Order: sequence, then C-alpha cells, then structure tokens
Amino acid sequence: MPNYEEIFNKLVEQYSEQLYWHVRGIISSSHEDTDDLLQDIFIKVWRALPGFRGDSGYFTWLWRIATNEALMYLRKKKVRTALQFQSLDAKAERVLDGDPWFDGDAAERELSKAVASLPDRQRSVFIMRYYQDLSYEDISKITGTSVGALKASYFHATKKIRERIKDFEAY
Amino acid sequence: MKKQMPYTTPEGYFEGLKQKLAGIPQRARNVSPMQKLTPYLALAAVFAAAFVIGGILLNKTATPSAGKEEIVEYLLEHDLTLAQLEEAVYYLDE
Repeated sequence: MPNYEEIFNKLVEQYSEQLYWHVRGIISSSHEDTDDLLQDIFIKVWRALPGFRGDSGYFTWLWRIATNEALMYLRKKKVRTALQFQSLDAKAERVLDGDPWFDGDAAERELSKAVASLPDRQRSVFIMRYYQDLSYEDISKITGTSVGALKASYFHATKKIRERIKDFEAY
Repeated sequence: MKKQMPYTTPEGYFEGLKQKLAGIPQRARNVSPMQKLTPYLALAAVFAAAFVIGGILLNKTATPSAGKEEIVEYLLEHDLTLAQLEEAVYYLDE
C-alpha cells in the first residue's frame, strides 16, 4: 500500500505555494480567504488521494480540484452577497482597494480589477494562461473544456480587459 | 507590466502554511466517529423536519372531500337541466 502521508507531504512541499497563487487569482479575494480555502482544498486532496488513479499527473489532478473548489467557493459567495443585495464584482473591487497585501502600481491595480470583473470561468482560464503560462492542452485537461472553447474564452477575456484598461492607459 | 500577480503575503507565510497543511493527515486520523457522522445526522434531521412540516401543511390545507349526498344536494340547489342531473348521477355512481 502506498504511503499516502508521504505523497501528501510531497505534494504540499512541491505545489502549495503555486496553488496559493492559483486560488488567489481565481477568487480575487483577500489573503485570509485564500488561506482558508487552500486548507479546505488540501483536506479534499488528502481525502481523495487514495482514489487517485494516475490517469493524469498530480499537477493536473491538484489544479482540477483547486479550480473546482475555487469556483464552488465563488458560487456560494455569490449567493451570500446576493442575499445581502450586494454585487460580488463591486465587493471584489473594494477588497482590492483595501487589500494590505496588494503590491503593485496603479496600472496593476486597474488590471487586477479588470481581471476580478471577468466571469468566474473566464477568469480562471485567464489566470492559468496569462499568469501561469499553462498551455491550452494543460488547461483543457484541468477544466475538461475543449482547446477551441478555451481559446475563445481567453480571447474574450483579454478583449474585455483591454476595453476596461484602455481609459486608464490613455492618461 | 509584469506578468505576475501584484500581491504579497505575510512574512514567512509559506513556511507556516506548509507546516499547517502537513498536519492535515494527523488531524484527519483524530476525528472521532461522532464527528464523522455529524454531517449525515444533520442531513437526516433536515429530511425528517421537511417530512414533518410537509405533513402538517398538507393536513392543514387539504379540504375534506364532499360525500355523494352533499354533491347531489348541491346539484339540486342549482338550476340544472334533467340531462345534466342524469349525467352527474351517472358519474357519481361510477
């Protein structure tokens, strides 16, 4: 029987930092929210580890779990904010404005806001392609979406972002 | 613009994170059987509550069905033709 604890610790060692940025990008939320969600994700990973069949590599498997969990987190958050008659996009922008862990200039803040305003799935594709430099084939394995659909999604995402930051660039 | 997320984390965060995450298997082993059962018990309680509340609501809103004599009486009180009355009685007898 494989030593699951050893495998788990190797996954933590190798991927936890990258996964943190992956999750933080998708949920466009605070450091604290990302930290909480990341722990939930690794609890899921630990529980699912005995069922890992190795069809895909650990990277793809982990990214699939994390992406699904992040999207699920956003869905739940949307319901909660809707019940409070608030918009999640507006909330994400407020979080960015008041984020003590934001470390960029005004242009990067504007770009982050534009990314935060994308639809959830489009944002997750954008994060994986733009910030993580993953190939469309890898993203396809993670999300279960065809390469063609991913390219279209990325194209629309960049178009929306350009549209949004164009006024900013004019100054 | 650099292709890097413009965020930072608290000093030493990732070292602490790795330690915290590495403790997950140990914590999972220490979960008592009762803690494992709690979500299932909660789900069962929700179903039981829905069943009871649904039963109460159904009992309150259901109208008692009228008896055959009451229906005939009702029909007689209204100006029905003989043919309509015969048709109604035919259906009631079926």
